[in-house]
Amino acid sequence: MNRRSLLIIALIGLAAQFSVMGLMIARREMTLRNGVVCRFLTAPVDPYDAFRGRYVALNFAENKRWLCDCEYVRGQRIYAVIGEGTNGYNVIARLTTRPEPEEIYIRTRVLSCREEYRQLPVGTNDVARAGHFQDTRYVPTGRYHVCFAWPFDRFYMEEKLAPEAEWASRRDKQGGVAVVRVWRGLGVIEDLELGGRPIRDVARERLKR
Amino acid sequence: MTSSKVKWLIREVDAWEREGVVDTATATRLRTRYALAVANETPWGRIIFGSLGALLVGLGIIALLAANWSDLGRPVRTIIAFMPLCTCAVLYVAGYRRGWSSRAFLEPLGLFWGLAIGVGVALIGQTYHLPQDAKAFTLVWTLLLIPVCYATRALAPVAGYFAGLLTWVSMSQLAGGVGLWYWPLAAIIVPLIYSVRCEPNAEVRSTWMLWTAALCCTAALGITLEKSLPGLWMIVYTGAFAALLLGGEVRDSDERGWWHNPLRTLGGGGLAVVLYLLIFRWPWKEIGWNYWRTDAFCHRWATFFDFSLAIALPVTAAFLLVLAFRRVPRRNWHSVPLLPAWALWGVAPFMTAIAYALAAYGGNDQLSALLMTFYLAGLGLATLGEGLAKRRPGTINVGVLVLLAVIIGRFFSSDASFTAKGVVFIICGVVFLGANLVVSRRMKQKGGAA
Repeated sequence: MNRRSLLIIALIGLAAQFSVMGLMIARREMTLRNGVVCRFLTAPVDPYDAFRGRYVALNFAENKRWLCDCEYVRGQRIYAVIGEGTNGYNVIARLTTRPEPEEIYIRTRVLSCREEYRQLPVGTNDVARAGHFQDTRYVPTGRYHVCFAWPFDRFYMEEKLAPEAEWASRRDKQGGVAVVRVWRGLGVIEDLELGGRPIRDVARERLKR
Repeated sequence: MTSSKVKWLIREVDAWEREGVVDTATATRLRTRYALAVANETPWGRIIFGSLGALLVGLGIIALLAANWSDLGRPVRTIIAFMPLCTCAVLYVAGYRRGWSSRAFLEPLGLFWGLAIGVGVALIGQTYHLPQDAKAFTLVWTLLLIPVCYATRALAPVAGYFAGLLTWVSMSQLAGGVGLWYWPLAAIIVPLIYSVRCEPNAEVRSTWMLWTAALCCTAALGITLEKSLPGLWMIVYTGAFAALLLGGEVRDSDERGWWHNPLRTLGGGGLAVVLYLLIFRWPWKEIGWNYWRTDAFCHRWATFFDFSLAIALPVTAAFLLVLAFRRVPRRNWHSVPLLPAWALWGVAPFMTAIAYALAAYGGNDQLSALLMTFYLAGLGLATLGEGLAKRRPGTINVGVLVLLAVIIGRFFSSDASFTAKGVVFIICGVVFLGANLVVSRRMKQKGGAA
């Protein structure tokens, strides 16, 4: 392979590398600029990532496990439609494979889907009423437990601030609020709030004391 | 030829010239020829220290960025994410313009370039709080390494590429996915390894590349199998190792060192380990169609890959066996044609297939284990015999090791009393010591290596 063809390969490679990284940035910037603001209740915990440093893991109050009427395949693309909760925060209203255009939704994938079963006593109604049955049997209810991946589960912070953020949340016994911008199925965390203030400010104050 | 050997040769040429063995013109021509060989030699010290420097700088950047400077805004962090990659681009283009084609420049550049991609993607993930998806992160990083491998032809990105693919496929299979994409992705780098192997003065680099690729692919084979039909792995693995062994024999039959022929070494070693496992009864229990696996993580269509390999690998081994056999000179012992030992090792997938059929359809795991015991013992004897015939102590030791392993393995798993076991071990030990003594004496008498 001569030098010129090596240079061409290198330039194509560099173009691909810059494009992939640029595309990642562009999609998220568009979401942050044009997205609808959604607020989810969460509890911050402070772990560590070898490559990306410290972050607070977001343990959302919203359940990742849903009861649906239809069966999904593991790994299938689904959409979590976002609705308004009773407490002023956003909630996942339903899961669907085809969201309506006017709805706010997050694109995600099915992690697992298993059929729901109900425990029934074995025997006739008379036997059951008499309390003579010993065994039970399981019958499918026709509904499915669907577990899906949250597309935002961590909020990166400075290495000294992240533990402080977790301590602040624990001491005050208050959950955080993840402010998320959602646009065309993509959700990007804009900020994490604790007691109505950005968690970075709360952690900085604790650090100064 | 290494520089120390060339220096020795040049000293000898000086002595020949003084003693009048060669004339001045011939001596000058010899000096010029070998001085050129020294000039083309790979400066390993510079490569290692340069690569170490690049690695430390790359890791330092990762650690610095992991500190997460939230005071810097998103635009600044975006620029920082692209900086290491821009540095690599500038260095590569500058190297091209100035004609820097030395390995001491390209090897550290390849390493730093590979790390720069990881740094950039990780920093974007940090800036935009991307979710935990180690599988996607590894895949993106690994795929973006492909042009780095081809542009620099360096060892570090190639090793990183195979390690990254293996990590990705392991995570994918653990999450219940299918890892079949590993194979077409791994095949993308094969032409590069082949072309580096054809390069002059690239023997060490290409050998390391081949070792990395062969080791990762061997590990990936077990991971990517769907394993729906219990026990099929035995035919697949013996087929793969036999193909590697025979491929090494066909490709580099003249290479005698174990390190310089990775395919043959890995094939032979892997085959010995797998065949040793098969002399026991446990691998032959609960195998075959009656134990077909059906759970939530099983992908029926992916079992096609298992069956294809179970057919393709033994067929490849058979093809290579014929090819290798045609290249070796015929040997006879009292007009009986002798087979080379590797040819007997090469039929391992077919022996395993027979044993598999016996266990799966006959339900007789004892018979299959016994068949494989006799086969492996026969291989040990054949290797020992070949070592003795060719006076190669290394081959003799391999043969003895295989035989000893069979005896110890089978005897330990038997129900015989400790007294009987002890007596048999002592007798075996005495026989081997005696045989070794006799062989050493004969070799000394005939002038071979003892």
